[in-house]
Amino acid sequence: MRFSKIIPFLLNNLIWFLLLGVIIFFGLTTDNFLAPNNFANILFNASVLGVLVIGQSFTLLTGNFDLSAESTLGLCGLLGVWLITSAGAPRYGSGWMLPPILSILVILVIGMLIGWLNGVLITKLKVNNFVVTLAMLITIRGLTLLINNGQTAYSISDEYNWLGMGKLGSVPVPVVVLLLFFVVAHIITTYTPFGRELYSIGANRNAALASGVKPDRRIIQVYMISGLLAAFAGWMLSARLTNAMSSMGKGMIFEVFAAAVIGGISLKGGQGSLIGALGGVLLLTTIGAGLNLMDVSVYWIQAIRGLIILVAMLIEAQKVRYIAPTAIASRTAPTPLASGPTSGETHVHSN
Amino acid sequence: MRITKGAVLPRLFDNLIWILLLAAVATFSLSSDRFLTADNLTNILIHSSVLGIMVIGQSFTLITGNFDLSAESSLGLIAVGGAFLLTAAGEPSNGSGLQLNPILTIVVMLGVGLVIGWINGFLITHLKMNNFIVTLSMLIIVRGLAFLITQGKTVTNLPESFKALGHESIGPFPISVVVVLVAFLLAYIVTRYTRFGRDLYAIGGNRDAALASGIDPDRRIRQVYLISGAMAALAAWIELGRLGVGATRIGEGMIFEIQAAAVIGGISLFGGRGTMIGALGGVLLLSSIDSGLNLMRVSGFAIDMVRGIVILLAMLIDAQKARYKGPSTASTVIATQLKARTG
Repeated sequence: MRFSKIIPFLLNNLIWFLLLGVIIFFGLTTDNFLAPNNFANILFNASVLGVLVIGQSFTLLTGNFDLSAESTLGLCGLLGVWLITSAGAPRYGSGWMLPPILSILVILVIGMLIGWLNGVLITKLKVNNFVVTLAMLITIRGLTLLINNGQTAYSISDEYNWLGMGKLGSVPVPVVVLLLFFVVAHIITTYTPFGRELYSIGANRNAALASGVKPDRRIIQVYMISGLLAAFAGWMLSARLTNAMSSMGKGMIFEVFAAAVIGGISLKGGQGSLIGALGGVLLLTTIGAGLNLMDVSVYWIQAIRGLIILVAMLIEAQKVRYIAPTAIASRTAPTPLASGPTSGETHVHSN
Repeated sequence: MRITKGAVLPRLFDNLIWILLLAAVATFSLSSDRFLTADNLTNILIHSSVLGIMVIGQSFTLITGNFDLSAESSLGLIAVGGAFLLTAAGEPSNGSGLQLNPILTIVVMLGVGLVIGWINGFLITHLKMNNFIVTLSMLIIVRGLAFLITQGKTVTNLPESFKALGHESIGPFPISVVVVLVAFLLAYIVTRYTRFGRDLYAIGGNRDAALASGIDPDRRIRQVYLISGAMAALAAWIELGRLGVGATRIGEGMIFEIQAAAVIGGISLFGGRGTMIGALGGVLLLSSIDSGLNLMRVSGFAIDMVRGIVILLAMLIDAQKARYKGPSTASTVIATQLKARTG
């Protein structure tokens, strides 16, 4: 490899080098980090965040985003448990005792409906995507609190809890799901016409429209995917905890964005890959796990995480500045908003 | 004067926030006789004060087409940090033991706000980083610092003189209400009638055109982030006076409410549109809804939901306005202003 190609190569695979660097660092500074058990734990912990990041990445690729995903996770996680459990103490459910399968179907459908509503408001009624998903974030969280009056519901159904507690052979189910979902999502976004259309809508919506793509339809679909996966993540989290608090997932959206973005998914749309996003999820989770093993105060972990996101993005911003004319531009179509990095470019869609 | 139908609709749309506010006040007055009392209205204003100050800071950034997600964490860090500096060490105060002079503390708090704002502006304009990422990272980092200062403990026993801003009154008027109203008025004048303010609208309306007409967008953007940081410091001062304690979670999740208030008040997320007076309307609407639903004994959980729906409805109407009116009038105004400036 020629020297002049090394720097772009490093920058383009930044997330994996960062991940490697972080693993080496924790491997040297703590005893237990490199144990296979710990890696399994990291993947296990990454699973809920990972599923949410997949859904978010679909919307991000089209130049949209879904702030409401964290609330959808909360609502569906709570509903999933609530519908299958007995009323009153000690489990605080609805008393309906639905079969777990039915309850799971219900929450997945609700997730898709929320996504559909987001998509319709954004595309058909032309409301700003930020406002729609922000209002939805608030509304759904209110609904979640309302359903069980803020009370935690407890699940004792092994079928329901399987997604969080079960094992396939010796591998935890969430880990299998995480990897499987990322592979499927990567294949869909990279190798199907549907996926390519998402990239083209994100890169240049008008050009996509002109070339026969139906942006509105695709955008509604990505919001439905995001809602569905958020509901799935809600099931996964409540199954793992075997209970569901109404505050479940609160504040998680920031982490979801951070993981997708340090994984290389552009907020402007049209750039990045799902495998990169997986890298972002693993990086954030690994840092959390490593700092935990180092007995770092939980108060530090948050600050250090923020700092790492900032540094990763700092490098990314410099990459765009220095190698933009060569490496980036040749890989992706120019976006109309690429010129002004400070001008509200995250709200690309609803002009 | 004969008003044609064509003129009525745009006028209604432009004053949407006040019509909504009026409707909310009318509804609540009819459903509870305690809503339209001097006491309750004062309460609404007091509850609006911290949110209002935060919305002013946010609106400055929004007008230039930027935003500052980190504002809620700045509020938290500055509040808990200020409380920490003021108080004695150990239980029950949980302070630093410095027992710093209140005036000096306020200066330090303002300084911290300005430093955070400066870092945001520097990263966005000098290092060309995305504003979303920068302020999101700062949101996480600054909240982490807030937790670190007291290890999550709540600081109590603040000196009375420091708390005056949050809970004393001048005659019948609570100081915090006077402060927030004066601040909105000042912000309105600055954004509307000064060169600085017109620059902000021009940058938000069309950055390249602003640049071409001799404005330095990067400099202005750094300045609005400084303002946002300073406003977080002021809000922290009021909040400490109001609550009487410095908790590490102050302001957590508030950014959603801040942006919602600004946006239903007519401040566009794309920059270049909306007024500070409209933003005040947004703050009052959200606070009135809270108060009214509280008086109606609606569960606190339902209030959140109603809030979300109100925001969504307001924005739905706003989106129809943009469609109905075609290109926004604000951008036309700016285009004319720019023409006058360059030509």
